[in-house]
Amino acid sequence: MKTSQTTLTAQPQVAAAQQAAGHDKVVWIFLLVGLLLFWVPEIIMARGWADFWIIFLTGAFIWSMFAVAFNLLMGYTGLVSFGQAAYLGIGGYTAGLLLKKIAGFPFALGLIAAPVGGALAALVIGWFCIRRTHIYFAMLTLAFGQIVYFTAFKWYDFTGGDNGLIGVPVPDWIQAFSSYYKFVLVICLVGIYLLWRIVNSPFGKTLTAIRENPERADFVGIDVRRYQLYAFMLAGAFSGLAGALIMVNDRSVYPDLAFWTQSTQVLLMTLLGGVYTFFGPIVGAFLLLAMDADITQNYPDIWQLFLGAVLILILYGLPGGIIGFIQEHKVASTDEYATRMRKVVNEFARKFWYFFYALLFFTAFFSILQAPDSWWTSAEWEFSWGEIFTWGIVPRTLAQGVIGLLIIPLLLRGFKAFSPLARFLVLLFPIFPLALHIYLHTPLSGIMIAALWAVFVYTNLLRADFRQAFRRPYRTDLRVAASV
Amino acid sequence: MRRRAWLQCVMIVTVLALVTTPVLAAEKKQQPIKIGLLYSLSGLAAVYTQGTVIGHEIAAEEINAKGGLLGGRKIEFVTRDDKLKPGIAVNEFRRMVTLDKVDFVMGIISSGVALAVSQVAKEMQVLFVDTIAQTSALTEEQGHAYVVRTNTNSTIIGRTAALAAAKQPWKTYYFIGPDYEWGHVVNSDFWEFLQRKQEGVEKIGELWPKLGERDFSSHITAMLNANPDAVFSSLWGGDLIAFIKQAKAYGFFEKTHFVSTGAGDLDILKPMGEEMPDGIMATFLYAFDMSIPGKEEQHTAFVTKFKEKAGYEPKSGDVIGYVSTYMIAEALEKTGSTESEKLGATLRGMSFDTVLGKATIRPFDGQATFGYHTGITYTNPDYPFKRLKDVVRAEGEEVLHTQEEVEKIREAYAKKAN
Amino acid sequence: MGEEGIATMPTFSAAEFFVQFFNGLIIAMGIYLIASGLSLVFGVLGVLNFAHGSLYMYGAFLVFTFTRYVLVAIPESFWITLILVPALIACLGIAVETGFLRAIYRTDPLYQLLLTYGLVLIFGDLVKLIWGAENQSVARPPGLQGTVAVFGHLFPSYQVFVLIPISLGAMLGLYLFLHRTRLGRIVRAATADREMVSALGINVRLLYTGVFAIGAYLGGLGGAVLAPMGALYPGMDFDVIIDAFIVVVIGGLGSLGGTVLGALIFGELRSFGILFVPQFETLFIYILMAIVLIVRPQGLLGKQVAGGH
Repeated sequence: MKTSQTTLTAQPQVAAAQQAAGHDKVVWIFLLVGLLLFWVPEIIMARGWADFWIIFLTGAFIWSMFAVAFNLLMGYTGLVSFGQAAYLGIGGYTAGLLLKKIAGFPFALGLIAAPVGGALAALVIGWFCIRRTHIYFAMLTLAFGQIVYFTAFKWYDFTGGDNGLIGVPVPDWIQAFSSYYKFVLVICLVGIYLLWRIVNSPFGKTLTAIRENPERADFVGIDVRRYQLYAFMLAGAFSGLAGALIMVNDRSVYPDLAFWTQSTQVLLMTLLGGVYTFFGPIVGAFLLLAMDADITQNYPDIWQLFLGAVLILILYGLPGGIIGFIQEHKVASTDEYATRMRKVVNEFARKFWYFFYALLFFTAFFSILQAPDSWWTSAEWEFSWGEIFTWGIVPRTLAQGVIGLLIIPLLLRGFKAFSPLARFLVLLFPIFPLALHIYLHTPLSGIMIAALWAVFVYTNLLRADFRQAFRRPYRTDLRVAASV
Repeated sequence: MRRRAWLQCVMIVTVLALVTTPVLAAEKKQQPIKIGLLYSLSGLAAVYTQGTVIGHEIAAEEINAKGGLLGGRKIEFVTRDDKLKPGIAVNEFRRMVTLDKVDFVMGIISSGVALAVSQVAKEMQVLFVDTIAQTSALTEEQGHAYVVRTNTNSTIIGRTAALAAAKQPWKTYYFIGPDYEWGHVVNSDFWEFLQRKQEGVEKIGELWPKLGERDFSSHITAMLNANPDAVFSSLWGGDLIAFIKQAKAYGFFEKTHFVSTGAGDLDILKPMGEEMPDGIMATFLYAFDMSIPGKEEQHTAFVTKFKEKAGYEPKSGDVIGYVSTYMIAEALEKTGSTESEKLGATLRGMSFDTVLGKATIRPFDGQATFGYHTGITYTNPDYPFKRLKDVVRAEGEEVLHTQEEVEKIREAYAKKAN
Repeated sequence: MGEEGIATMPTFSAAEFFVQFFNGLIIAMGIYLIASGLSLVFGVLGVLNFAHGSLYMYGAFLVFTFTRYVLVAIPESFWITLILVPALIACLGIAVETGFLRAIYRTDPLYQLLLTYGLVLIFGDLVKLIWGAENQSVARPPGLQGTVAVFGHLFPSYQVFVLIPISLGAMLGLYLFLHRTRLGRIVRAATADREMVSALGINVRLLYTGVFAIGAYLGGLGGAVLAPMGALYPGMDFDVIIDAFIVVVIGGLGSLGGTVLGALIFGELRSFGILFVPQFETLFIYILMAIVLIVRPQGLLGKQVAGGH
C-alpha cells in the first residue's frame, strides 16, 4: 500500500525513537502493564462492579492480539487480507476438535496445536494467495476464508456444522472469569511482545521494505515471495491462537468465527487504531469492542450504519488511524530552530483542541444513544437551573464546550510558561468532567476515550522535540514567537 | 508565575465543581423482576422477533397493572439482540446475567443459537426459557434442569403435517428444506411419522438449498421433472416467499400438492397477498382469526391491544411472547422466588390454561404440550391476504416424542458422545 | 448435514437436460444484468464497487414502493416503474460518485474498495430504517404471471418475455455504445489511458461520472427487473454482490464479453450444480473463484494482469 505524506515523515522519526528506547525498556513496560492489568479482576470484584467487565476485557485482549497479528500483514507487509478470520476458525476448531473428540487430550497441547494449525493452513492458503497482488490477493483471501467457513458449516459429522462444536472440556482452573482473564492476559501479552520483537527485528524491517517498494527489495536480493509467505504464516499462527482462546472462552466454536464479517471487523479495528503503528490495532480493538457493546444495546439496527460511517470517516479524515493522528506531526526538519519549536507548540495546541472537542462530541453522542430521553433534560430528575445534574446531555455538553473555550487558552498559555502544576492540570483538564459525564452513561466508551487521552498526553510528552520546545532557556523566544 | 498557577488551579477547581455531577443513588422501593429477552432483532429473523417482544411487553403491562408479582414487584425486561449468531448470543447472555443482573432469560429464535445458549445457561445455572427455537434436541438429548420450552418443537410440526398428509392419497413425496439443522430435522420427523401412519409412501428425492437461497428455479424444475404427488417443504421466511412466487410461475401448484410448514403464518401470507396460491396445506401454531374455545374474550382483547401497539395482526411468535410471560408469571408466584433452580423445578410438571389453550410442561424434558394445526389456504374476502380453512388440530401429546422415545434418544446421544 | 442423499436423478433425458439448461440461461441473464454494471465501472474507472449490490437493492425496493403505494391505482404501474426506477438509481449513483468516490480515485484501489464497503453498510441499514426489516414482495405484472412453452417445456412467462429481452437488450446496448459510438470510443480510450484522454481536452471527470451513472442504471434496472422474481429483504445486497463478483472474476474484470461468459458459466453451474452436488454448491462457487484467481486472475477474457508482487 502507498503511504501518505505525513506518515512517511512520521515513520523514520517514530522508528528512531523506538530504537532509541531500546528493547529492554520495552520488556519492562510490558511487564509493568501486565502487572497492573493482572489485578483488575480483584479490583472489579472488590468494588462490586459487574463481572461483565472482566469478560469484556478478556475478549478485548484476544482481539488485540488478533488485530496486531493482522497488522503484521497489512501495515508492515502491505498485504490486506479479507479472510484473516479463517485462521480464527481454524485455530478454534483445531483446538476444539482435539480437546473434544479425544478424551483426556492435554489442554496445553490443544492450545499449542491451534497456532500450529493456523500456520499450516496459512502456509497452504498463503502459497496460493501470495502469487497475486492487491485486489486479486484480497479477493483470493476472501474466497479462501469463505471456503473455510463453508467447510466448517457443511461438514456436519466432523465439525458439528452450523450447530457448532459445543461443550469443549476445559480444565477447572480456567473456569472462573477472573482466572481465565489472567490466563488470557499472560498469553496475549507474551504474544504481542513476540510480535513486537518480530516487527523490530531485521525480518520485520525487511517486510517494511517489501511493503514500500517490492521491486527494489527484489533487486536488492530479497526473496519477496518467501518473506511474504513467512509473514502470512506468522499472522496465521497468532490468529489461530486467538481463535483457540475465543473457543475456550465460549467452550464452543461456530463456523461464523471464520465468516468474512469477522475479517472486516479486524480490518476496521486496525484502520481505526492506526495501520502504520504497532499499538494502533490494540487501541482500535478496544475502542471498537467498547462501541459495539455500548451501541448495540439499544440500537441493534444502526450498528452497521455506524460502522460504515466510522469507516468512511477514517478513510477520509484519519487515514493513519487514531494513533497515527496522535503521532503525526508536520514539522519539517529543515526549518530553523525557533520556527520548529513554535510549530511544535502550535501543533500541540491544535491537537489539544481537536481532542477535547472530539471527546466532548463523542461522549455526548454515546450518552444520547444510551439514554435518548435525557438528551435535553434529565429523564430521572426534575429540571432546575441550579442543579446541573438535572440538565440533559446536550446542555451539559454545550456548557463544557463553552467553559473549555474560555479556559483552555489560558491553560495553554500557562503551559507554555512551564509551570509544572499548570502543565499537569492542562493535561488532566478534559478528563474530569468528561469522565464523570461518561460514568453516568457509557462507561466502556468513556474509559476507552479517557485512556486514549492518556496515550495522547504520554506520546506528546515523549517526543524529544516537544520536550525541547518547553525547556526553560528558550522561554523568551517562544513568548515572542508563539501564539495560541 | 506561581500566583498564576494557583489562579489557574482555582479556576479549574471551580469549573470542575460546576460541571461535575454527583452520583445520586436512586432508591427504588421494590426490586423489579428483571427478565432478559434475547432475540434476533436484526437481520433475517427480525420480522418475527420484533412482534414477540411486543407480546412480552403487553403481558408484562397487564401483569404489572394488576399489581405485579411476588408482593408488588414489577416485571422489567432487558432486551438484547443475538444477531442470529451463537457467539454473540452467548456473550449477551453472560452480559445480561453479570451486568444487567437479570433473574433469568427468555427467548431465542434460531435452533443453533438456542443450543449454544442452553450450554451457558447450564454452566451459569441460570434458567433459560426457550420461546421460539424449535429443535427437539434442546430439551431431549441436550436437555437439563435449566432449560424449559414454552412453545412447540420441530417434532410437533413435522408430525402434525404427517398426520394430515397421511389422510391424503399421496404416495410419492419430494422434500425440500433449508440446509441447516432445523430444516433437516423437520423433514425427517415428518417422513418418519408419515411412514408410521401410512403405508406405501415413497420418497423420490430431496433438495437442500442454503438458508437464504434466492433462486429456486433449478430446484423447481428438478422437482417438476420428478413429478411427485406431493412436495413437503420446511422452507420459511424470505426463502419460502421466493419459492412460492417462482414455483407459481412454473405452474407448480397445479401439478403437485404442496405441504409447507411455514406458509400458514402471516409473515408469508401478508406480503404475498393475492399472489399466494390456494389449496396449499400449511401447518401453524396460531392464527389471529381462529376461535379458541373458552378464551374468546381474552384473545380478542389481546389481538386488539397487539394491533394497536404493533400496527399489524399478531403471528404465532407474537402470541407466544404473550403466553410465555403469563406462564412464567404464574410459575413465579407458585415458586415464591426468582431463583432459577426452584423456578425450573416448579415449571416442570405445571399445567397452564393459556390463551392458546391448555398446555403442560412435561417434567421429564421441560417441553410444553401445545397443540398444532394444519389448514388449507383459501381466499377470504374480508382480508387482503389468504386465510386458512379446514383446520385440523393435533394435541401436543399426540405428536411429541413420548417419554420412552426421549429416553432412547438420550441414551443414543450419550453413547455417541463417549 | 452431509449424509443425506443427492437428488435421486438416475439419468438425464434430453428433455430434462434442456429444462435445466434453459433454466441456467435464465439465471445467467439475471446475474448478467447486475454484473454488467459492476464490470463496466471497474473496467473504466478501476473501482470495484461493492455498493453496486446496494444500488440493485434500492432499485428493487423502489419498485416495491411505487407499485404498492405510489402508483397502486394504475395497472401499468410496473412498466412505468421499470423506466423510472433505474433512472432514479442512476441519479443516486451520480450522487455517490461525485460525493464520495471522486476524492479517492488517486488512492490505493483497496481504499476505494473499503470505501464502497462502508457505503454498503450504511445503505444496508438505511433500507431497514426506511422499509423495515420485513420481507417484501413485488407482484409480477398482469398478463405475465403464468407459464409459456419453450420447445414444449413450460417456463415462467415473465422470465422469458421480460428478463431475457431486457438483458439481451442491455448486452447489445452496451456493445453498440462502446464499439459503435464516438462517446463509447472515448470511454474505451479513458480505460486505457486516462491522462492522455484528459490531455486531449476531454472532461474526464464528467466522463467518469457518466460511466458510473450507466453502471448504476444497469444495477437499478437489474433490481427492478428481478424484483418480482423473489423476496425483497435487507441483506439482499450482500447476497447478490458476491454472485456478481464471482461472475466478473470468472469472466474477467473489465471485459464485458467476459461478463457474458462468466454469467453463462455461473448460471449453468448453478442450475446443474443443484442437482449433482446440492450440499456443496456454495462451496463449489468459491472454489471456482479461487481457482480462477490463482490460475488466471484476469479471468477467461480479461486483460493480462501485471504479474509479480
